[in-house]
Amino acid sequence: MVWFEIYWIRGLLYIGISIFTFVVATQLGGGIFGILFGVFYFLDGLMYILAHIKGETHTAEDKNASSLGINTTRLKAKAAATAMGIVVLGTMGNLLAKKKQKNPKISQADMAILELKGQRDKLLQHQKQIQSAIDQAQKVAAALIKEKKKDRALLALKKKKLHTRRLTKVLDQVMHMEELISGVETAQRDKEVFLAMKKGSESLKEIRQELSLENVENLMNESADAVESQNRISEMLAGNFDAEEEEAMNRELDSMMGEAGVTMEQLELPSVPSKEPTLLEQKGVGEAEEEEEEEEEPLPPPAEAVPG
Amino acid sequence: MSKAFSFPSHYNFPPFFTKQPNRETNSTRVQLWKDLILNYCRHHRIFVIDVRESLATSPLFCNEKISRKLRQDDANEIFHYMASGGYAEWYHQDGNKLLIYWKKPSEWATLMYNWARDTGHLNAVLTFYEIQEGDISIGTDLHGIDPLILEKSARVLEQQGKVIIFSTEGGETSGIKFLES
Repeated sequence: MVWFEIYWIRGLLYIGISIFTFVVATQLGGGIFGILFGVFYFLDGLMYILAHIKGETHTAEDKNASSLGINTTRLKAKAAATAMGIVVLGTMGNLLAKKKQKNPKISQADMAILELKGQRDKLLQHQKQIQSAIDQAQKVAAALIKEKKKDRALLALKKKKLHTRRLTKVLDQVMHMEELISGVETAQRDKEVFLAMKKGSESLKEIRQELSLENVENLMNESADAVESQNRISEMLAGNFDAEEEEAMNRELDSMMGEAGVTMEQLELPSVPSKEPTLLEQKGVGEAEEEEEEEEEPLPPPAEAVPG
Repeated sequence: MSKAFSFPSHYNFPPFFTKQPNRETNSTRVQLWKDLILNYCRHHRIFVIDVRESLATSPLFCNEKISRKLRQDDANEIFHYMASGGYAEWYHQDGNKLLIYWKKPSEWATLMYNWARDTGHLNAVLTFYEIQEGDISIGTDLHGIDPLILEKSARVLEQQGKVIIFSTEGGETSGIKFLES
């Protein structure tokens, strides 16, 4: 018999799981479902212990559910527990994911930049520290020379030299860091530019698709057809004159104009006023005149609107 | 410091250093002290004062010429007045460290945001250390700002939704991302 086939051990295990689920649900915000699953697990565990007290043991019959009574309950509980396990795992996965993505406006690149900049800041602090050590060694050396302690002054100068070498190294590292940071920043910006361009080209493509040659041709054909049928309709409605009749009409017009002594040029009419005539009708005549004066380009009003 | 701070004439007036029995006179005196402290700190770019130490040694509170010193009680009255007006803030429970706001956090916040906008740092990630000590802030008022005041000002911007403050996973470095608003 395997250990988990002993019912009371299994019952305790389930109760343990239920408590764990309960803690996850309440402390980390798994919600009402988490609590529910915890309760179910707990009941499941209790049931196993009850079965143990009743003297039941794990047998092959359990698996084909042939017996009735507590066995079926246990099967149901088992099924429920399995389902719950899946859901709980899902909830926990969600929780972990939530914890990772704190703020949608902070991208991974931002995080990486902050990390790099943090390292660089540390180097800068280190640089300051070395700088002050160099200054200190310089001071000590100067003081020792004054005291005529040549050997110790030399030692101090050696120290200074050592620090100076370290300083160059640190400065190099800072330089590298800066390069890396600006590299990440540039890459990030490039990505944004790329995305924007991609969007633009996509919409261009979409528009192009709508405006395909075939579609345009179809459209042009359709409108040509429409114009033609329209022409036909108006011809049919108007009843057409043939060329001879048209000429006769023109001749008659000419002769009438000749009789009246009017030429084509004299027939030219003054241009149509661009102002709304209704304005003049609605307002008093005086007001209308004032309006006229305010206009930049006053149009000659109709004769009857101007007072004598 | 490039230029010595020129104290106002009342600084050499002995009653300025002691509490006045007349209430009105005293409140004027307290106000003058507030102005003096703010001006002095602005001139020397002092962001935090150690109350005990500065009361004992700082020329701001010790006028050797007329051998007068500001007493602790009188100083507390002035500091309390400044704190109530938002010109100072106690930080540390023992009441010994005082943040001096010759610019209030909200003013620092505006200054910082405008600086970030004008120097093209919107949408970029900056560390607090960088704003405070880095090359990018040299020549601006922000350079050398007290980290505590910097953080307070950043929190003001965060409340306004103009920046996001975040930290690395280990929490070692805190950074700020200025957003376009």
